[in-house]
Amino acid sequence: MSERNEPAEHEKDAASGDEDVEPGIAAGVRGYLIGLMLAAGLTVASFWVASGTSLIYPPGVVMALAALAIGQMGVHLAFFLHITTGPDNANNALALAFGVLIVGIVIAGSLWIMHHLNMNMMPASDL
Amino acid sequence: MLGKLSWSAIPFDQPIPMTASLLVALAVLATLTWITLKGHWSYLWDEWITSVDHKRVGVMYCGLALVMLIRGFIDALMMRAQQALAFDAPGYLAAEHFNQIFSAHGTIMIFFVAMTFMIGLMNFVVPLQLGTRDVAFPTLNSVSLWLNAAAILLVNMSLVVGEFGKAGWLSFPPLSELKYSPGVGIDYYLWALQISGIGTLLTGINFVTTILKMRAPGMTLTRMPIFCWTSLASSLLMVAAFPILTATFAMLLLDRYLGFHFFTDSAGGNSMMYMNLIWAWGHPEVYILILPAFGVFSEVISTFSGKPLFGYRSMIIATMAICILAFMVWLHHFFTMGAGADVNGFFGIMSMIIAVPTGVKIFNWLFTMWGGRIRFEPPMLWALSFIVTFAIGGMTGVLLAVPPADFVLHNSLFLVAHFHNVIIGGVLFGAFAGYSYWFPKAFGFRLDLRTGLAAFWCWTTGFYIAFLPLYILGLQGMTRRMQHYDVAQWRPWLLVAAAGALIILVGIGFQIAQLVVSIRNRKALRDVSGDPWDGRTLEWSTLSPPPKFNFAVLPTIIAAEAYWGIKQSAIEQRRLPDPPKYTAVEMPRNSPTGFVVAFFAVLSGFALIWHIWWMVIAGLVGAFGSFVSFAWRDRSERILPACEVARLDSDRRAARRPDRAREGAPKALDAKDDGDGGYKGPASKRIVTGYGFWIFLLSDFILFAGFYAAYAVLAHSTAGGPTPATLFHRNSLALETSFLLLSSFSCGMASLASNARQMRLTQLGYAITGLLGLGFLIVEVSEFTAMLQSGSGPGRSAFLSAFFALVGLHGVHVAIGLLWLTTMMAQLWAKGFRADILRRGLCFALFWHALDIIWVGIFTNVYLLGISP
Repeated sequence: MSERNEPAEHEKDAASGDEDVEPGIAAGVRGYLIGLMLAAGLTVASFWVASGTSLIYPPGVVMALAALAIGQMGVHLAFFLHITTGPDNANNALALAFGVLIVGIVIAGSLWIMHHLNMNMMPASDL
Repeated sequence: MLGKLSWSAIPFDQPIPMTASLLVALAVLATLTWITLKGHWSYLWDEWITSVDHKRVGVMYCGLALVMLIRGFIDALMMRAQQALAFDAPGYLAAEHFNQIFSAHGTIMIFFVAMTFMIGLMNFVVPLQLGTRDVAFPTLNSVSLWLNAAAILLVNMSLVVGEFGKAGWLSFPPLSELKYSPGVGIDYYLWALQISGIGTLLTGINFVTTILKMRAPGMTLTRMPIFCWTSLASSLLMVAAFPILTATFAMLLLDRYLGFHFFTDSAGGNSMMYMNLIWAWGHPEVYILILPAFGVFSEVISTFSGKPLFGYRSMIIATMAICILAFMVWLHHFFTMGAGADVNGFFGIMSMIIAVPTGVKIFNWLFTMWGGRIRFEPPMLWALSFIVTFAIGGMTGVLLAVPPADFVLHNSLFLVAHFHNVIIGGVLFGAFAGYSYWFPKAFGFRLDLRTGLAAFWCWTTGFYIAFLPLYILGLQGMTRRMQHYDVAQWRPWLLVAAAGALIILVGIGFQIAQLVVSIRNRKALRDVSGDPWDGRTLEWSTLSPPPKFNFAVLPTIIAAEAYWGIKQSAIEQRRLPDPPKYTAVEMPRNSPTGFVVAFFAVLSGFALIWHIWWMVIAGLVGAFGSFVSFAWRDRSERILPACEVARLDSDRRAARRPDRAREGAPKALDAKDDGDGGYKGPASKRIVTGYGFWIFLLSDFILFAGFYAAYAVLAHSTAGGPTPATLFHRNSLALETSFLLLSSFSCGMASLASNARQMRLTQLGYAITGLLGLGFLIVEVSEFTAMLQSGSGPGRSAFLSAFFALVGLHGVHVAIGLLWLTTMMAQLWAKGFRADILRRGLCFALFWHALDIIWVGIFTNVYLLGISP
């Protein structure tokens, strides 16, 4: 445990993936179990949404799936990777925010640009 | 046996490449003979090739860049000569050859001169300025360097064996597709840049981690020198942008090698998606280049004006604003592609906005000089020339950001003039400023002044004479990359431009002369004090050249401009601070890993280019093996005893002359002491490793984002083939998803068991994780096999190409994870819970959980979205 119990000056910094406080085994297992349950629940919900249920307005399925996916990613981040918003995790969370921003820009930007291009221009195969 | 390789690959019939390669071969041979005769091999191997010292790595990066500058400049001279001759005439270069030259020129200058030089400066300077002993991952740093060298070797091999790409420095499809470029040129280009891209990504990760986690005590973020800030921004951009390049090139490689249809003109491929993705990397790339140069100028201007930098905080904000905005302007490289007015309008406005923080910086530099006592040493001259030149280049850039103007100027020489104006005037002048500024620190003697001044004036005037005519030519309608032309009014300007290139040639000649003269006169040019320019930042507080450990005792920083404060109080009190208490210093041991991995990278790259499959496998196995053997080593550090540290530091103290007379009597100084600002110094190894790996995972997410973007764009391009609804099956998907989710859980259990030091439970947890991962892979492979057998392979349509690439990439990650897991389990078994193995376990857990996160994105937004009615 020598490295996990940082010298006092580093109490405000956690290694990515380490839990912020030294948990007992029981607390640790509980955390992973809660994560597993939540993730399994969200997975089942995604399958259910995609199964053609009449409870969801069909054009809304895209958004529902995206929302469930983002929610489940959040569960994994918090319960499995232990990336939290606590003060010891500021650097980890900031890096994540930057990464998410770039992922969002690349995907959304590409879709937006290519959609407009396809609307305005003849498809390459017809040239 | 040797794939496509045969004697016909060597261009015996072409005198120019043959002569060039003969000369290079002779030069290399002469160097090697000289080293052997002088018996320098063991010195070279011990002190340089296997060195993981950031200063040595930095110097080697800069050396590579300078050599490649000459190669790239010869290409430039050849192009200028061709265009000077080729009015109504074929000139002396065949079109095929001319196309290779402009492609090689761009590739080399951007990747292997500008980028390599900037990374070299970062390597040398950043740890010194932060007051730390090395970068976060020293051996990885050496791997980065040698991968870059491997890529350089491959690019230069193409001169002799085969050919280089002929499709420009970004190899746009469909021209770069197999159908139109069947030769090996594009493959040389792609594999070389993939290899160097990995090196650059690792550099980015290394420097983000170093800057955020390794600073000296009291070096809070807002006390860091601006060069560290711009290096941080540049490294963040490397981490975020290079995965996009890797993804894009991987798609083109899949098209060329395995018949995929990402960018082809058939089966639903869309070559415009390549433009979109490559520029999503390409625009951040220009800021990766220019930001460190901005940092150099900030340091130089502040030092040679004898004033603190004006607007330090606004400089930080401007830097970080550029870091984000750099990702929001990429479409301005293809306004004319036809995305329409609203898309063009948005990106045009963003492009104008990004000029604002740059403008802020220029004013900050001007105000730093204002009222200062300016010393016109060569670094400062480069900085002054930069401000003027870069402002012109920036303004033509804002002009090009206006979409209607861009429709007129697109692909013309006006554009060529613009980007040379910012890249030469900004990045290259920055590199030269940094080179002359930090040379005394690196080698312990200054560069010769007279030759330096001559080089500066030749470069500056040569630049204007070579490139201002290109603006005029662009406005006269001359497009770029013309092998010959028949417009008489262009010719005089092209002759002027050629003359400008010759003046630059003289400048380069002076730079070589400067190096020779300085080495000869090194005794007279000796920098004894370690502070030749009256510097303000920490690198000047240590000796020139710095001892291996940089600082005998990590400095404690109490205010911004760390060294200036220490120096002033020493002058004030007319004595040095009391000698500190020396303790033993732990330094990373040298390692040949970088060199060996790069050797295997060259082997695999060459084999891939020539389709020599057995050699590909041999190279990959070798690279993996050298990583494992590195991970297996027992001692990674060596200890310098305290008495040795004290002895070396006494040299530094002897060199310091605190009573050195500065003008007038020492002024009363309000010794500014803001305390340590709450920052206590470098983090522990576990935190550093975890953070570095986390940054790597973010880059991996961005890699997947590139593939996912391609999938999302191409998902409907089924070319009459199967659609998602007919192809995907709910049952196997549910099985795969449960396997991965459960393996995430068991991996968590293994982490808990290893925290509690339970060997059997840990191994059990890892074993279950591995078996579940294997189960996932088996289901996925059988699913893929069924698709391939039913004729729904990646060659069927663009949709299937994107699907196989995205999901297959995830599968490859799982496979790599299993390989890693196996070696780690063996290591854990053999060596027990050692701290470095535990750190690796932390990284593995992060990796495995991240794979599950990516799978969440895939199973919902690829599979379930595809089968939902």
